[in-house]
Amino acid sequence: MQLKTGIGLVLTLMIACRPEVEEIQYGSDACAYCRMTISDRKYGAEFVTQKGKVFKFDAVECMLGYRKENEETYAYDMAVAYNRPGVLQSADSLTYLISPNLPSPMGEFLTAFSTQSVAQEFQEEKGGELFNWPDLQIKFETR
Amino acid sequence: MTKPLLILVSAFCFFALPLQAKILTVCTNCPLRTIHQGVALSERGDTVLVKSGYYPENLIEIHQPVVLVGENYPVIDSKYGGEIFTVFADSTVIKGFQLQHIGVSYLKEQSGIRLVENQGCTIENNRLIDTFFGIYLKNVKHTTVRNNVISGNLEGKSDPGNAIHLWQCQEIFIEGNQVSGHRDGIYFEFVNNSKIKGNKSMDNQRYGLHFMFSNNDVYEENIFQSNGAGVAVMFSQYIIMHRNAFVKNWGGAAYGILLKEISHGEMTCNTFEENTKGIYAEGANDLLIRNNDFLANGWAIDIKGSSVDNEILENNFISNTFDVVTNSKRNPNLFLHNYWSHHPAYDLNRDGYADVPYLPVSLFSIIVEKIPAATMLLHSMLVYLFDYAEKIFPSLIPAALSDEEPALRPIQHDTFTESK
Repeated sequence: MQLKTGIGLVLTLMIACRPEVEEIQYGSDACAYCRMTISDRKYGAEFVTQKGKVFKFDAVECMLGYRKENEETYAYDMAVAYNRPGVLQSADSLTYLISPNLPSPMGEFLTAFSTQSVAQEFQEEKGGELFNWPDLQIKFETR
Repeated sequence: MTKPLLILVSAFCFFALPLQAKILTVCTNCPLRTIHQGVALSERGDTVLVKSGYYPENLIEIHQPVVLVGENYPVIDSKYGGEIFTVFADSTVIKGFQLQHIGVSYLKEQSGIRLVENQGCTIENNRLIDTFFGIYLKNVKHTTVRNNVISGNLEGKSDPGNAIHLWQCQEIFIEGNQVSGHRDGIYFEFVNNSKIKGNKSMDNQRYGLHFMFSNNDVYEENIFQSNGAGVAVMFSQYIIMHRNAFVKNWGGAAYGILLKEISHGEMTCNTFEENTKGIYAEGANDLLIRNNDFLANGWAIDIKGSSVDNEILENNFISNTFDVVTNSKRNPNLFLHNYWSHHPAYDLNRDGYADVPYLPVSLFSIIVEKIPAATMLLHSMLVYLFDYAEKIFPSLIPAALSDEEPALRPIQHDTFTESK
């Protein structure tokens, strides 16, 4: 019986330490990089470290800016797509558009879309350049 | 007279002929019954006079300079549909209207009045009620937005718009507006050489004033009160902030003013009263912070180690729970000749300044910064003892952060009060 409780306890602790994605509370959470209150539901990003610490951002450019200055290992990379406001999705699954005609919260003109076809529609209308997640990270790291 | 000159003179005479500007009157039982009709029939320089009444209209586009005047605030109701006025022409005036009920759209920033890539317009004395975005200026120059009342409705809105939103503008004058119930009261992004004066921004969800990537701007005599997170001035240079009041911005991440990546600015004669933090500075450099009043704030100033070469001179720090807090052991800023109400000052050599320097960072303020729950020990005997011991033998607090010559009594200086 005691063994069972012990195992149960250990399991609970393991679950408690497992990194988990947390929803962004728009209007009250502050961006970990620029300190602004996160408020535009069309934008937002979050990463969770291996240890389960959650960092929330008001825009993808803030997350990339933060990571440039801080070394961490990430369990999850998440971002919000412009066409699916308020929902965090795996950053890897999104397509990114940098277009001078589509302003974003922190001045990088960077917007995420849930699918490549939606991103292309916006690219046709607004102009600009499309990126996938690995290329976008490289672009921000190398400048 | 030479021939080219003759042509020039005759051309001048031709253009100098008095323009046949008409006045077109619109009212609910006139021949012109809608503002659409009035605008469609107007020519360059005409006036469209709209009598009081109810006009259920929207999507009114203005492509040539006209003067639109409302008499006794005619109501233009979009009925939660699209934008009301979109102005593409220069030198247009919109004055005296009540614009209301614009629908929320995720993808379009629909506004009561939107100016697009034009110059020389005046938007004044309008009332905007629940218009998602109120007045929106995109790529605009030399324009005045004055004495408008813009009230939003935050209820049931997860993503409200901004009351006055400026993007990539030059030489704009924002004066005497009252803005409330929006995401940000006044929003500046890439706006240079502009002035914000005498506005009142209250009860907005996020910031009373939000300032990004904007240089050489002045804001003075504004009141920013009870906004979700106060005011944010970020990524900007050469900003002058003079005689403003930052009042009652309470909350976990609320500040009288948030300064982030800002340099070469001046903050003078402002009042910071009853804010969680009066000033929060991160990456703020070369600022002159002088003659301000910090009254009854949680923390008067939270200045991070990334902020250097700031001069904090001749301010009054009165009845703040904590005066200054920082995360740095060093002090790359100058604090001098301030009045600190917590300082038991005396002046035996009668030079006008206290004989003993004041260390404004208390041990307990650092502890509370790291462990907010410790607030429950505030004003306990133990805390006083620790604080006192630290002041005598600083080990955890930055000993270098001190005012070497604190003022003996509150400094008299120019301030702004609403009654003026």
